[in-house]
Amino acid sequence: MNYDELIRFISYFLDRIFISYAFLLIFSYTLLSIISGVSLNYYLKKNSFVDYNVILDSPLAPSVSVLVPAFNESKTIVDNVESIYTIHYNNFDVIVINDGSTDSTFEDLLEAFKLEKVDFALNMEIPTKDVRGIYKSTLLTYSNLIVIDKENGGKADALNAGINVSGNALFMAIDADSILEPDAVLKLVKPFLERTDRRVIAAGGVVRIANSCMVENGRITDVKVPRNILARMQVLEYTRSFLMGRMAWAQLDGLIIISGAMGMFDRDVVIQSGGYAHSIGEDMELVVRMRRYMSENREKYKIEYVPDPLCWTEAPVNLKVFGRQRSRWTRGTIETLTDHSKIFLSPKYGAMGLLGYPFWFLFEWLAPLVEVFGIIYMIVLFFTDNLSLNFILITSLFVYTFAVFFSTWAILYEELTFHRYERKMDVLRLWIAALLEPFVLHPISLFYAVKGNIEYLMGNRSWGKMERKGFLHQKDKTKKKSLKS
Amino acid sequence: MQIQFLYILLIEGFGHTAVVPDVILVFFDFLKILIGRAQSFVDYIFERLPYNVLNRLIIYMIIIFFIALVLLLPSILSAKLYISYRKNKTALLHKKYSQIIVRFLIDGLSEKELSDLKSIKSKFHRKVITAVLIAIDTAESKIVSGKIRKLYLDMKLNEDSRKKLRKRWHHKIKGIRELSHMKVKSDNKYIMDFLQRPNEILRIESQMGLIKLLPFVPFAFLDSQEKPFTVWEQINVFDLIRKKRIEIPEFHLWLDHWNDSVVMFCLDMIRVLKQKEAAPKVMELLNHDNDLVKGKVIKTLVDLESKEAVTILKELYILEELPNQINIIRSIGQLRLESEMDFLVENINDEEFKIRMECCKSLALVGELGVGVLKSFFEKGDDELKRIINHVLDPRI
Repeated sequence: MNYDELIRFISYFLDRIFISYAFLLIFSYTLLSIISGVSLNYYLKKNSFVDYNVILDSPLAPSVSVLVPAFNESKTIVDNVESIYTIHYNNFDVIVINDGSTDSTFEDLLEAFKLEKVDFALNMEIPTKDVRGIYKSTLLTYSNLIVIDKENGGKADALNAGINVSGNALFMAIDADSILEPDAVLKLVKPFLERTDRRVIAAGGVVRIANSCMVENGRITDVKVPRNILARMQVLEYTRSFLMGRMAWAQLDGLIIISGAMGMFDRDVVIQSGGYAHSIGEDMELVVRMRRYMSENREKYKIEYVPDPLCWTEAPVNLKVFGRQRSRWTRGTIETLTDHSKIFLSPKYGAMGLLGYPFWFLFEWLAPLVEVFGIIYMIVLFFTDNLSLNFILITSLFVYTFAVFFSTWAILYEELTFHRYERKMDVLRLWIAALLEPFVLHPISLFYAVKGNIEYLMGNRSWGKMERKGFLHQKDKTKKKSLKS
Repeated sequence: MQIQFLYILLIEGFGHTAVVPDVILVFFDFLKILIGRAQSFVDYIFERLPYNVLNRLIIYMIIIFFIALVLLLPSILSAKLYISYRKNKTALLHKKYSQIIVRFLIDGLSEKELSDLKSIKSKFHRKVITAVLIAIDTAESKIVSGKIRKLYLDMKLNEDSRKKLRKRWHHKIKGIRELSHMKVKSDNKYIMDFLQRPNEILRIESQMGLIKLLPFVPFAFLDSQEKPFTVWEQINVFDLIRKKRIEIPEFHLWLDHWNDSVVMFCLDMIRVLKQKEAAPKVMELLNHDNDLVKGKVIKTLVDLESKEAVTILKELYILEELPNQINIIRSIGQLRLESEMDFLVENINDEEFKIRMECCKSLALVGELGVGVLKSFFEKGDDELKRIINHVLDPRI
């Protein structure tokens, strides 16, 4: 076989691999979106008959612990803890875990909530870094507030400390900078109440982007599409992921991630599975491990997903911060997938092994690598006169039309379901973002995903610093207006 | 081709008539030009690409995605407009019919107004009227209920509700809600059929409907409850019992039910409603196979303040798994029995942290004597026990 023949031989196979991969990806996404559509339709009809208030004053409703890990959150921690107290639920306690902050997070909490150190006997069901002290609020309104002050050990370690302190059967883990919808706990608790022969071990909900939205007294009062283009495109990304992807995976029983920003878990199962691991993608890792534990112990279980927007978070608008976040997500995915490689295509783990894991492996981990490799391959072929410019153009057009079509489909789902963006211009803005996304956000995400892969290979397991701009509060807006005038 | 064929058909069809719909012709002309352009664009692309299946496939998929995109955009716009139109229209009609019905209840309506109301045929309007009737009936006193029900029947809205029982599940639910609210019992047998449906929402609604419709035997559905009676269903039923002041049965009647979820619901009801006379029957369940049922039995006995149960609970203690052992210790504490302090002291040095914690908590609940015992253990206990005792005696926790 001479050199030309060898090149042709390799090219023959690579052509087919790339083409099959692209078509399989498009087919999977389309199928998932159709399944999501059917499930959303069922959910909305079902939900229209549900009165969540019956849970509020029922003696049969379970108690829930809300865990809030905080590291250097001094700017917002007091407001955020106060905002948790606006949720509609009766039997709950709030456990804030100060994970060795180097700023005044702990001191601010101490002062704002009049905390007092208590003699709490801690049962270390999950080992964690040293706990310096456990505090309780002396204020009557916050009598169910517990603050744990501990050595820095990362988010997973902080959550584990919170689980050790929590005495309730269910706990909800949220990010310190998240804004919860008032009925978030009610909606997440309901799947646990609907348990039949399959134990509900976790439930997740939709996380939305709050940039440019108005926040008043810890609540989102005016939903707007972000002014910043990077954040706006992330709205589309989140909509696609939460409304079209995760909804379908929950339906197929293949869901392997519940967002770290908000999720509710069965405490016993979490402890039996070993708690949160000291991983970069601790949210995904925990779900996979809990599922493994249940499957390996031959216990019937399910993971539920609530498609309602229950939690709002701030998306990074700074390229550097965005890059860190994406790189971390990629490293987290790789770490979880490699740690649990045993699941891959194993019927023992049901839909997770046969569908969820392979999908994440093929289309979440490998997708950016295949794409970059494909682009390089096309360039090489073009410069060696083995590929016409026309073919490159139509292939790019093909990918572009699919991307725009898919985002537009997501906007339609949003409009038909929760239509949180009430202004017509907001929908137009989103659609324009859909037209631009393949040229703006996608290449950036691709770059950081590849960077994440390289960093993982280099052994980088750091969390990275996340800087927040802060939410837009009504008082800020009034202040700005008065300054202008 | 099909468009062209349709176009020719239209021309031929309208050609010999006096008035040709110009707009349609202009539209088809435009469509023809558009398709022609698209066709020539595709041909242009194909000429410049080597002929193979892949190229063809890609081009056709681009066309499909593009057409889908073009269709999605007006769908988004129309969805947005339709949703807001429907919302506004419903609000307007709701207001209009609320005023009419309130007037009907206070002053009465003229013959003409009443016959106009009864002659409304629009399904949408009739739906709104039903919703308004139910809303007013829920908000107002029982005095107007009779009048509202009469209007509902006079307008034959019950026929609309009945028809819903034969439609898809979500219509069925609306039908059940309307019929049960208006106490129309003629369709009970249909509703009973829904009790064993796999759709849990339909099941819950039929249970609730029957509770309202069968005031003398509201919980008859429990007899034939085959599916698991989920906590969510239980919460809804309990809420209805409280709000509608339904006649409460003696729940111990279902304690020997073969469906464990029904037994657990009855135990909860006995506990919450303090049906103390059920205690002997509850005690019989202490040897139940299902640990979850057993856990509920222990809690129920404590809440019923059944001191007789303590001896049996103590005997069972060694045989039980950790969650029920904790339940037993907790229950002894809640009963505040000084006579049982020895049992708590016996287990205070258990290896399991949770047992130790529960023993200390129970001792603290007994009162001064228990606190005294704890203090004496503080002197001689290990570090863990000292921490637990500190925890238990800290009033802020």
